Amino acid sequence: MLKRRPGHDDPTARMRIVLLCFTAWAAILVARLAQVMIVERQTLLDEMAQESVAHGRILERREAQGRLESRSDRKAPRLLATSATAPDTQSGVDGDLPVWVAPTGDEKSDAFPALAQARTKARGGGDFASR
Amino acid sequence: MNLAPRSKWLNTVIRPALTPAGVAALCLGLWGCLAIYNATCHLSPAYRFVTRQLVWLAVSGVALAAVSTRDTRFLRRATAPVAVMTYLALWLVLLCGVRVHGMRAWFAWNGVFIQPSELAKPAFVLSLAWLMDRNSNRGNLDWRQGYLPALLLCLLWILPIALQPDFGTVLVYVFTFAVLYWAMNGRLLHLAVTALAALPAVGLVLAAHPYLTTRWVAFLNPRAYADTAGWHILQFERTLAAGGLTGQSWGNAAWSQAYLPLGYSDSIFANTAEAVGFLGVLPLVLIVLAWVAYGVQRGTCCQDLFARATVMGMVILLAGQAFIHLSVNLALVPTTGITLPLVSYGGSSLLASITAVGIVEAIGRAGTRPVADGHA
Repeated sequence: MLKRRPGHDDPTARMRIVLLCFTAWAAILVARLAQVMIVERQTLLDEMAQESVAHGRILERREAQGRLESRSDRKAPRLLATSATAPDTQSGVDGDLPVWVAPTGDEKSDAFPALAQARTKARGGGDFASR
Repeated sequence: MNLAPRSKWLNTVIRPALTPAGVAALCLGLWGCLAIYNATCHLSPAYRFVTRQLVWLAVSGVALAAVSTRDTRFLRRATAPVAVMTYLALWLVLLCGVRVHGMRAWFAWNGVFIQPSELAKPAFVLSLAWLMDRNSNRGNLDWRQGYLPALLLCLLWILPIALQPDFGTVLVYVFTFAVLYWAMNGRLLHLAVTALAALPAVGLVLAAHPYLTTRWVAFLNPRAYADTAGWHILQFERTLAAGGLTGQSWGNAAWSQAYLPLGYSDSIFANTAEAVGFLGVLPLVLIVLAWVAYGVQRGTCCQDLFARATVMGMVILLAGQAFIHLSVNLALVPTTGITLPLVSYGGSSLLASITAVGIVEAIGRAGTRPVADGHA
């Protein structure tokens, strides 16, 4: 008589193992959440402050060049041109999720109005710079 | 005077739909509307996205009531026509769908967008469960009769989705198939052999779509690609850091609104985390886990393989998609576009997710009763 593997004939055992695997996955997710949102938070905030200030400088440069038209002038992360992967579209995306690249200050879009708020913060140090 | 019909309607439609998972799904859908508002309130008009989502939530509520009141026999009979219709829609969208974000995945009609690959998810699980039940040998799935037909069915489903191309959704389908097959007494060796055999195909896909390789490279060292492919990963981390322990407040997630793309759909978890913080999003992880535990409990009560596989398939589908979304948003895996079920913006996704919950409730309620025409 063939010897069966443990749990082979018991469907509930495998379903419980599935639950166990999802529990382990959840534990990893919570640990990562804690790492980014609590443990490494200050380091990331410092990094964000630098980015926010750099962002403000880009806008100031545009303003000095007379290219900042009004308070509503905004810029957004521009789409990475991926003509090789999306040759028949001008959307500049690459399949199932757009790939965005850092703002250069040369774009203007209404997609991210909160950047106006970020610009104000960046000039004065802002929330991110002060943390 | 009208009390009798109203009472009958309440007893036959509303009460069966008011199951624990059904109510929880609708509540999570409402919470998703708040999250969508948080992500889009800076746009003009501010309520455009959330209004549409509320309409879809109402439609999904009707679908939940309709599905929850059915029994296993009805679902078994409905599997073939529903699967055929949704499968044809997957091919049809390649011909006459609209291209958004580089993929041809939506039917558009008067501003209403329908995504067949989302609607097909419950049909995919039902068809797999039906086939496994039909081909199983006293509950066990052997290589020739059990595994190969199921694998072929899975490949048939993912082919049109890969052609869109929507590799995030393909990942969800493959994950669901593999875990469901193993959970239904399939052998790990079958899956391992398939994974090895699929390596050349994966290589061809990577060669045809170089951005997939770029995402892997950027994932391994995002700061080296901070201005290009690593941008999204860095913004996930920064958005989460901005949230901290208790978060900002609803509508004031300034960093994600400014820098994080697709905060209302593929990046909604990170966007919400900035608003409500670590303590605010922690219950979301626990809810997904509770859903798996609930599904396993329901699945163990099922008498036949079709019912058991359907319940577990729906559970794995929703929980797997949710955890893949979270893993992407936590920068634990390379970036890919996957919505958070019940929460992210998108009517097709919401409708499919709530229908899946309704199917679990319908089968779970009848699970302890043997099915007359079953193959168990």
